[in-house]
Amino acid sequence: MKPIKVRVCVGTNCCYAGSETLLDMLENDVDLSAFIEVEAVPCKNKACDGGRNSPVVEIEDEVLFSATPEIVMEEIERLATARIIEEAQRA
Amino acid sequence: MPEVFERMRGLYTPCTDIRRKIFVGVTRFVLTGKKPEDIDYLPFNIIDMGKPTYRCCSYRELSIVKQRIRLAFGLPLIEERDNTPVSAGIGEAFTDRKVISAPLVNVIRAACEKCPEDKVIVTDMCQSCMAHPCSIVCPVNAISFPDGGKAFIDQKKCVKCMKCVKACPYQSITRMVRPCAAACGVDAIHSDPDGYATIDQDKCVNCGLCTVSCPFAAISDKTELVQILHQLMGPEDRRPYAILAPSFVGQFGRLASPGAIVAGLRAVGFRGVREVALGADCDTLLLAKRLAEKSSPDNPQHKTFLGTSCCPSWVKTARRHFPEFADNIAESFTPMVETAKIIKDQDPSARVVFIGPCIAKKAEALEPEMRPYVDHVLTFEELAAIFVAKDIDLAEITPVEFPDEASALGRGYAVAGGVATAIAETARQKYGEENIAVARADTLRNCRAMLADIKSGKTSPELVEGMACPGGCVGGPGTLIGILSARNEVGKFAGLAPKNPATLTK
Repeated sequence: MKPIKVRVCVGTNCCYAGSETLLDMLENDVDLSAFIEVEAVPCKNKACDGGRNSPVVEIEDEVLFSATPEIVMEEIERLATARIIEEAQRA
Repeated sequence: MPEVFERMRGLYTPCTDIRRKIFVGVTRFVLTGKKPEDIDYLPFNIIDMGKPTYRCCSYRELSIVKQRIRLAFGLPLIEERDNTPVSAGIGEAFTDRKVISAPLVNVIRAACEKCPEDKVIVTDMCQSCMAHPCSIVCPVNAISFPDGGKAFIDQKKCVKCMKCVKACPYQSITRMVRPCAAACGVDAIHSDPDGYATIDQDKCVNCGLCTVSCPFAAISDKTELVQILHQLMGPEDRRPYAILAPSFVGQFGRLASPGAIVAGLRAVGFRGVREVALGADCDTLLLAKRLAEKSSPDNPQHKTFLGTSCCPSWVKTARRHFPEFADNIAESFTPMVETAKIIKDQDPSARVVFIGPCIAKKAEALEPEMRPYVDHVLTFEELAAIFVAKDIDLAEITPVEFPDEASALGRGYAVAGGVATAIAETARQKYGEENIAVARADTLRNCRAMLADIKSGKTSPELVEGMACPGGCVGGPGTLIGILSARNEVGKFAGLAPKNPATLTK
């Protein structure tokens, strides 16, 4: 499967709202590593609005605000399932 | 199984969330020039009364938030159950002078869920099996099977020997210890007559691990945020210097380099920045010398050990629980004080703020003999609230040059084992002391066990290192990132420094 791109903001506002610990989880989960490509990125267009939307996580083209691990994992699972089905159908 | 104070570390839980929202809310309140009479509006910037997020109801949430705000302002706890408005006297905190006082670590009873202190219980997993080894191994006959069903433990009889826990084939019996008390390495937390957790302040050594172990965020320490903000907003020549504890590396995110952190500190108004690893080097040189002197058979202390002095919670615990070893702990200033002294020697009117992972340092800075050197203490978590409130992004700021002054060994003080390594290595290089017997322990329970072994003659080390927090200072309650990542970052940063303090000219 083509890995899903997950970009986690590590600007100061997002770090304070838990993005570093979220990254730790995503990077160190052995089961996940086959499905995702994780990247730590700086603040983009002040999407966090002074921290009110932090942490901001981008999964492929979708931007998630106040992204808890629960929200992020659900989105990864949804996209991965869709992608696996799509790739199977094409093959 | 990790210890209770490690299980939630490195996780962003709603307990972390409310703590940081309070810090940012309080900081914005002060930075925007709000007055004491505006205080009643502040809680509504932190919680939404229409949507209880953390608790059963908004009114309880509001009551707790008000009390947490008081502690964040640095004032003594007032609880609404005392029939006093929580904001009473809040104006006293609007100053650039020091206002915090002991006790630093407080239980907010409105937030405490009165967890049972210590209980062995049978869970739903019990299959009421034919073998029932639980009741067979129980030495006090506390286990029965009412109506032939699941096992039941008579709490009056149970002595918590754990035999049934180990014998159950289904792992259905478990022991539940109140997390705050389990985290406390000096047994300072008990229940009051109503069942709320209460801290025996004569026993507490302010390590602060209970504050990050309570799953209901019911224990909180006081902060000096508001008074430091007043200094940062004041006239330029009265603004404080920041001294950064060795564990600072990586705490503000992987894109915030040490140079960016210094730039951020300058941007919020600090006059200058020094690293505390410099003071650690001073301590290393002193203790290595002591160790060398002690090795001479003529020295009266030849047969005793030398204990490290950098962690105030460890020093207090060792002296209190093992008075016979009180003189073994080096009588030296901590790296924090040594670093502050360097600044004050150059500028006696300077104000110095220690920035670290540590709550015990807040207590140390309150001691009369330290007061002249260290004016205030902030944790990394409290400092980051200032960056957020001022919208300063350390990932984007232009870094300035980091004032490289310390050795790799000094920078290693942040990690368990680093202090003893620094002292032993320096004693070897400077005084030719080879094969020094070192004992070390982190967390106060382990420290006490280590000292008990020395007392009983089981071990006889020459150099003893004690640290209150798991993994050393990188596991402190005021940190922002996980213990493992923090340890790696400290190691990388130490690798950039000259190797040994013996080669430094100070």
